[in-house]
Amino acid sequence: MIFAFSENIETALELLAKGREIADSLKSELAAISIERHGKEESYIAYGADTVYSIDSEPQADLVVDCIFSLTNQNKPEILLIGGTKLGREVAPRIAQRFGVGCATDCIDLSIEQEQLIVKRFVLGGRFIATQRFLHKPRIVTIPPRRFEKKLDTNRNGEIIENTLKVAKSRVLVLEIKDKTSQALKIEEADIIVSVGRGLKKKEDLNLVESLAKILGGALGCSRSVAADLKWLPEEHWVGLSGHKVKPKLYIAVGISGQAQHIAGIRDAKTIIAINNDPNAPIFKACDYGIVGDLYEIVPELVATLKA
Amino acid sequence: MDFSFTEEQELFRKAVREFCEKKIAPFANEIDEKGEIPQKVLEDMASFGLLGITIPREYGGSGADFITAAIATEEIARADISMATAVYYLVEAGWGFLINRYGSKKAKEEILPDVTRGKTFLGIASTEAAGGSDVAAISTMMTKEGEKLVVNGSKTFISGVREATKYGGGYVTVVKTSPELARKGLSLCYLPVKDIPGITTNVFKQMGRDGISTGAIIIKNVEIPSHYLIGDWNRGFYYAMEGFNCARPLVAAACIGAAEKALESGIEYIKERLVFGSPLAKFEGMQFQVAENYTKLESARLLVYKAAWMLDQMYANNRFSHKEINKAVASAKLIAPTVAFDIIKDVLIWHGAYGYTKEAGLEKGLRGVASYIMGAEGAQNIMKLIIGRELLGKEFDPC
Amino acid sequence: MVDIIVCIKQIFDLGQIKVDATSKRPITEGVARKISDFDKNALEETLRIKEKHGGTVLALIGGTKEAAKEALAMGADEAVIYSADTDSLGTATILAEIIQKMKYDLILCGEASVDEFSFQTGPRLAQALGIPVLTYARKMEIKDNEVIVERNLETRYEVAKARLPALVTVTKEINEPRIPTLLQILGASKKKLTEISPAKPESGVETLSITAIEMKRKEVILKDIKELARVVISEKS
Repeated sequence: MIFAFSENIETALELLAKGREIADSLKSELAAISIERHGKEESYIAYGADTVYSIDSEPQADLVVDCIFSLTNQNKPEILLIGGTKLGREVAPRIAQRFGVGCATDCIDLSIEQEQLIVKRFVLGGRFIATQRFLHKPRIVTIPPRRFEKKLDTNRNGEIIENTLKVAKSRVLVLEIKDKTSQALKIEEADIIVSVGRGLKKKEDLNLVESLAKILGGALGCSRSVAADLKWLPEEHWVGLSGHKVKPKLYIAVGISGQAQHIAGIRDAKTIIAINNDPNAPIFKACDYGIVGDLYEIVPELVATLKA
Repeated sequence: MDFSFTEEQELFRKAVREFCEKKIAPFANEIDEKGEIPQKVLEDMASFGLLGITIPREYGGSGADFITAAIATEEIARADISMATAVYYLVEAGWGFLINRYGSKKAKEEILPDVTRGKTFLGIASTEAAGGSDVAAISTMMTKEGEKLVVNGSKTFISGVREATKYGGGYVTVVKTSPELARKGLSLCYLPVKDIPGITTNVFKQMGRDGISTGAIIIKNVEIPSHYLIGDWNRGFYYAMEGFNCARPLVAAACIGAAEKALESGIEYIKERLVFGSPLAKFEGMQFQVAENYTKLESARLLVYKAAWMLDQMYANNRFSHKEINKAVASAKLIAPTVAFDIIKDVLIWHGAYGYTKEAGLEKGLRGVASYIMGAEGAQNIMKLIIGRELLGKEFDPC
Repeated sequence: MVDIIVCIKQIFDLGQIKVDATSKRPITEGVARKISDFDKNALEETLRIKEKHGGTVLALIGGTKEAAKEALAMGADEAVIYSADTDSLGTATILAEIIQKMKYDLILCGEASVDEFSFQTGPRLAQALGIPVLTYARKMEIKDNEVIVERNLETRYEVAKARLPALVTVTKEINEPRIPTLLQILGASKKKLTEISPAKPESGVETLSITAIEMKRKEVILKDIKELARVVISEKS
């Protein structure tokens, strides 16, 4: 059996698509775990699950670890696919530790070779890909959101099993939830991103780049130094391996030199355009189209041209 | 024999590099363009312990030896290849050390804590209009008048004149006290310059190294307290020579720091830059230049650290004669500025037209290092004279 | 008084890693090492807690003496180093074994190491020790034998607390790590540094290969803004 879990329904559906493939090639079954009663359990079946374990709990790490641990003990799945959300990244290694087994996080590819699960993930700052296999069962994997496409098949049948598990109380007490500022930017979901780096001379000039993002209907991103060192933009805008990995249709890098970590974060972009005054900047080796020049001249003129 | 740095020295280099990359390098262009080191940079350098680094802990310094001081110089110059920040740092490291060695306790208590705190500037005023390197020809006079010392004369091509008049501070100043005794009639004093009656200053426009000013100080009947005499009366020549020996390896270290940075960026550039379909670095003409420049840089670097090491050995373990130190220090100071100038020039040319732009960040290095070929703690020909005198014997000394 | 253990991983300076032209494997020979970025944030945070509440800071370091010296220079009271050529399971096993013998109120880790980005060590270690874990902390404070953190989650910040002893993993935003001064570096040589060699633990994952990513982009240099605008318009739809 293969388990798939994410508290994020979209991510769960994506995992089910990949899980279905793996289950078919292993001639195994695919079960979805739903941690709270959200009423969407039916859709898990249409998107690939044979069984849905529906638990009436809440997406708190301590509780999720307990639930999945118990279900795993009961059903002995060979593979656990867990959505690589922040919650998923915490619970997957904790479950693995309880079983004393390995875990591969943020896998970008999964395949079955000679009945073995082989995974690929970025290592060494995102410039390299490691191919790994597991030494024990269950094999625990996290998959980043939006990695795979969900697949709907309305002809599928399956069973929803309402499960009442006894779990311990969470030892972490949530005191307050604060929404992230304004429209809660999710840069990893943006189709168009205009990102800015150290080429910008001062914080006030951000509106220059913002106006380009706006006219393109895109999100505003930034490099590590703008978010982490200068703190001109909050972390939500930070594109790169340690910030957010993005996969837009169009990525425009304005005044970004193109350090390896940044490049690793935009690897999945369809088209990359670079604007930089240094013809020697590494970004020009990592872009589809580049223009050498002063961003303070190019950006306003580009905005004007696009408006016209 | 062991050419490696200690673990502490390696860790210190790593820490200083990180500091310089975060707190100095981002301002390097501004320092050159505005002709001033931002006060924030100086404050950060002070709280990180870089200002007056050789001054003992009791006065707020770190009591660093010269190898450590040279490491910091190299790193500061890497971050600001215009040399401005390195000059600010190294004159205080060199001449702060000397004041601590020979100054009166009262003077040290007055002067040094403000230097290490980054509140005031400390420099060296030796050169006069009639000539810089010929110290014996100095004509600025100091006389005793009761409890006071009175100074008259003028100094020129002095680093940090604007900084010292803005922030406060002053100069280790070479003055004549017994004209009939030539070099044996010189003394050293500490001359404050901010809001001092009788002091006027002006600042020169220069070719480069603009982040720290260079100018003249006109001294007219300036009274200073007697405890500002540094060391003994009429022993100033020897103290000054010792001070130059302390500062010169740091000048040389600044040159190699800037050259290292330039060469590294040049190597990166020629590996990427395509000409006729292949990287510049594939051409033998480039490889030979890389190899030659590396070798020149490495030989200069070895001379710099050997001189610094010998100084440390002299002060800590009483090893090496002054003659041996003179030769080692002069050799390092002779080779480093020209090597650095050549390397930065070559790297600039590798970059083609881009190298000539301000944005490439190389030309300010070339302009800055040039100042060290002209002079600063002794001109190149003086270094040759020192080496010549030590090799040939005193009887061939022209002065 | 809070006794804190901070877990630190020493990693390769990633920018210095080159790729072997034929095998596409990483060349790590001669590459300098450094303390992983977020672990340095964790260390900095422990020092700030110590400055406020008193107590001790012990740095538990997977790496060499060089990293230990840096941690001690930054302000850790004591360092223990071990060598760890293993995966996350192995690392957590080693750490748990060492820490079980120690007295502590709080353990801090970086949210992930910047070479692997596995996000595993902190959660695994807490699980192994049976203590509560608070991940992705961007702010934290200690109050009445509890740790209160602000966690940075996808769409929200969550203020949460747990009783001590607990483990917290921190994000990069939590602070700016200090750089040790010369005097601190010289002072560090007097501090206690222990080297231990734990038995090689069992791994959970075997790495079959590591190869460089080949990226093929068009690398077209545009001549003017007109061309740029044309490309932007055609690529955005």
